[in-house]
Formats: sequence, structure tokens, C-alpha cells
Amino acid sequence: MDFSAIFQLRTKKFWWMDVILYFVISLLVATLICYAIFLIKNSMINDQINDVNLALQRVGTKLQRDQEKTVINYQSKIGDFSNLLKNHEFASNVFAFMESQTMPNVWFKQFSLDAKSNAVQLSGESNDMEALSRQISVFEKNKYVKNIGALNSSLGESARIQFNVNIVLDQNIFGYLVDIATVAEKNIPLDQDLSQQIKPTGLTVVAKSTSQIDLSWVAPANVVGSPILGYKIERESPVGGGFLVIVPNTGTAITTYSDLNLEASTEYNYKVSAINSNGIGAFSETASATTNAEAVVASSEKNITSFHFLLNPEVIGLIDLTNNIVTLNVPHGTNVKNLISSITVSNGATILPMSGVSQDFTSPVTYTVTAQDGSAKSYQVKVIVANPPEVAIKYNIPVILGVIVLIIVIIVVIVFVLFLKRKAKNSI
Amino acid sequence: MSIDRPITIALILLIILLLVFFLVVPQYRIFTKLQSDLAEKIAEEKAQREYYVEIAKTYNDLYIHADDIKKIDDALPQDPVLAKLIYYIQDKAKLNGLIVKNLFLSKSSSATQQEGVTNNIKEIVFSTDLLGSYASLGNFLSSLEKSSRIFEVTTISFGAGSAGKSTSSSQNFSLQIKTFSY
Repeated sequence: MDFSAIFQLRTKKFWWMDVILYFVISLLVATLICYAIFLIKNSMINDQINDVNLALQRVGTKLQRDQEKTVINYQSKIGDFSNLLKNHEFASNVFAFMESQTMPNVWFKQFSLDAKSNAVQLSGESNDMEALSRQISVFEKNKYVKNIGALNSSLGESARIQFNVNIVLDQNIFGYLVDIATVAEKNIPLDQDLSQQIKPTGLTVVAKSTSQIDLSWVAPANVVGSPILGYKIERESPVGGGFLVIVPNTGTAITTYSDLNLEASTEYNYKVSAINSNGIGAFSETASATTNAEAVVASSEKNITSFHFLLNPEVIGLIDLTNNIVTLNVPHGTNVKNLISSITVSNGATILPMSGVSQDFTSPVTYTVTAQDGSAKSYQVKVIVANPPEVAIKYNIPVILGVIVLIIVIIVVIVFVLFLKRKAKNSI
Repeated sequence: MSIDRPITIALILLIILLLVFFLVVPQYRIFTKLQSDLAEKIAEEKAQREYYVEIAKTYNDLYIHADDIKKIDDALPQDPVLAKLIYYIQDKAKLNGLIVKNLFLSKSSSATQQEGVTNNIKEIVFSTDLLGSYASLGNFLSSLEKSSRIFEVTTISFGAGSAGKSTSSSQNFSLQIKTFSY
């Protein structure tokens, strides 16, 4: 192997050797510069992360956190409430069902309802086996009866049939959407002649208040051999919307009834029919009454319900109703001298300065909300402009410093290399 | 002084390699990681700000619907207030012509399970014996069902008099009434 070439490289002077030397020196300098740049950049990013972390800690003010707590609490409450409403059961639907399904000559003496298992236990008497059979058949045919079990009957002391029956009802009968009128499917009516004879007369309806109408009527003169056991009352509202059963059976021969929980200033039509052991008679003539109007009371509500700036993105104000302060955080650079607000206030209240009018928010602006009753409340509206982004300034200073350091390093290296070269020349 | 060029070049290249592997590359890795961390933090901060804007909007919506919220608060009060409940049931019974013979709290649970989901609703169950007419019972049930507070009658049992007179005479009713608080 010939090592003379390597020896020549060391002793002889080649121009390209100088080029390579300068090139690797430049490479070394570039590497150091790269390292320095990464160090500087990493330090800058670390600063930025710290800034963002600080900003993150400042994001939720105490007011915002309180609002968050309230919103989360109500979100959960509304969810639970709707779930509860969905599963809410109305036991009175079962009564309407029983009343409508009870046949003539059948009497129930014991009633027991367990809404959990949808089970109804009944004990009673019937005039004869045919009446009982007809009663059981009516139950079986009803869509709300799922199962009839444990039926037993015996001849009682009064020559009547005594019976016990267990009925399992459809869960839907307890539902809110089940209309009582549909649960109370029609009883077998009396024949036409008899029904006309037990028709109540002289129905009078009088509005007693904004939510109460009192009904009174005259009992049928002829009860066709069987005393009146109760009255069925139907109501129509809106007028022309069709009558619905409000009381399937009053369970008493009393000829008055108070209809409560009505809407104010609303017209209601009523009709009444009598019930005896033969069944349900014909309806009385229809009578109408309108509930009293509610007295208009001027509202004292004078709150700002929302305060927005029509910017992009929209800026929503935080309303502190305790201290009557509205705070809005606008982005850096927003012209606060000319901001248009969109404000909503309590029903019937007015606000000054008005919503949609341009305002100068360089200092807090006082808004006055006046309620319907003339009382007023003042709100201080404060606009906070976000600080200019610090990142931009921080970014520039290290870059400038880096460039200066880089130039200094390059100059020092070049001078050093020239110095060495000159010294070597002199020594030759 | 003359420098030995080939050795110097080799030495510098070695130094460059060492610098790249031990200083530049690790710093570059830190740099990329920090960049992604920063992007994550900025996104998190933006999401937090947007979240609180949404919270403020929802809070204002809650304020606008204060009447509806009050209905929910009435239906599911924060505090069960048993004394108020007992008075309410007694008052409703009296208004509808029923006499409360006895009334006792039979169960008060801290949470309920509905369709496998636990919620914060507490159940309060009362058992009561009432005396009055069948029509009064119907009106009483109707009053409870129309009440702003949620009531559910879970069991009802009663016995009537002799056949044909059952609807007009006074009877004993046993009821189990369930209500809720939050």
C-alpha cells in the first residue's frame, strides 16, 4: 500500500485542501449556530407554554366558576326531572278506568291497587252469575287489561254472587299521555227511552274566580226505579274542540260541582249526565261560562337578561345581578369607542341607553333599566380589552440576539483563520 | 505555525458529528415536542374560553327561562322540608273533604335507580289512612296530580259498604304517596 499520497497531503500545499478546511469550519460553526438556535427557540416555547398555563389558570373567574356550577347543577337536574316526568304515573287514570268499566248490577266492595306491579285486587258482589260473567268479559276485552287471574266466586248470604278477581293492567294506563276519555271507554248506555228520563236539567255554570267555575243542576225527576249513584261531567275547551270527561262519576247524588285549576279568561262548556244502577243517562243541555280575567299587575322586574357585543366572534357579557355589573372581555385591538351592543331586559322593562346604539366604552357606562311599575335599576357596563399578545415581542428579541451572536461568531472564526494563515506564511 | 490540514479536517468533522448527535439532535427532539405541547396548550386554552362563553350563554338562557326553572325547583326542591309536605297533604285532604287519620314517613332514600342509571333524586314515601267519600278521594288524587310538586300514589286500598250504597258513605282509604326532592 502506498502511503506517500497521505504524506504528500500533509507536506504539500493544495488549494482544494484549504477549501475543504474552510468548508468544515463553516459546517462546525453552522452546527453550533443550529444548537444555539434550538436552545433559544426551546427557551422561547417554554416561556410561551408557561404563559398559556398562566392564561389557563386565569380563564375561569370566580363568577364564571359559579355560573358553571349552577349550569351543571341545573343540567343534571333537568335531565333527572325529564326522566322522572317520563316515568310519572297517574293513579287516577285507574279510577276512571274502573268507573267506566263497571257494569250494572255489579258492586265492588274492596279495591286495592299496587302501581308498582300494575295489579288491582277487587272483591265484590253481583246480582247474578250472568252480570259477573258480563263484567269479566268487559275487562277481558279492554286494551288496558293484560291479564285476569285468581277469579273465584260463590253464592253469598243475600243470594248474590260474591267474587274476588285480580287484574293486571297495562303499564300505559298510568301514563300522562293516556287521555282519561280514552281510558273511560263507553259504558253500555241505557236504552233511549230510559236514558231520556234520567236526564239532569237546569244546568247552571257560574265563574267564581280566574280558575274556578261552579256547576249546579236539577236531579232527574224520574230515576227509573233506581236511585242516582252519581253524575258524569264533561267539559269542552276550546269551544268546538270536543267534550272530554272531567269526572267519570262524582260518586254522590249531590247536584253541585266546583271545577278548579282553570285558565283565566277562558270559555268552558259543560254538560252533565246521571248514573244509576241501570247505567248512564242522557246529557243535560250544555251550559257555558268564562273564567274571570286576571288583574294586570305591573311587573317590578328590571334585570338585564343578556348583554352582547355584535363583534366577530360575538362577545357575551357576564351579568352580576348582585352588584349590578356587566363585564365584557373584548379582544386586543377592538375599538371600544364605537361598540354596538345587543341587550335584552326583563319582560315589559325598558333600558337606556337603548340596545343597538353605538357607545364609547373607554370608561364604564351606566345603563338604567326601568320596570313596568316605574322602578329603576342602574347597571355598570365594563369593557376589558385583552392585553396585546406578548409572544410577538418575546419572539423578536431572541431572534435578533441570535443573529447578532451568529454574526460575531462568524467574524471571530474568519479572523482567527486568517490570523493562522498569515502566521504560517510569515514562518515560511 | 502551520496546521496539519487533513488531521484538522478529520478532527473538525468528528467534533461536528459529536455535536450533532449529542447536542443538536436532542435539542431538535425537545423542540418538536415543545411545539406540539404548545399547540395542545393553546387549543386547550381556546377550548376553555369557548367553554366559558357557552356556560355564560347557557346561564343567561337559564335566567331567561327562570319561570320554567322555578317550576322544576318546585317539583324537585333542594330540601325535602317534611313539615311543609305533611301540611300540604293534610291541607289538600281537608280541602277535598277527607280526614287524615294518620300519616307517617315510611321511606326516605338518598338516590334512585331508573333504567339502570343513578340519579340524584331522593324519594320520600308517606303512608296515610284517610276517611271520606269516594268522590273526595278522586278529587284528592286529582289535586295531588295537578300539584306543582310531583306526587305519585303507589298503592291504594279501600273497602266499601254494602252493595248499591258504596259511593255515598264514608270509607277508609289507605294510600302510599311518593314524592321527590333533589
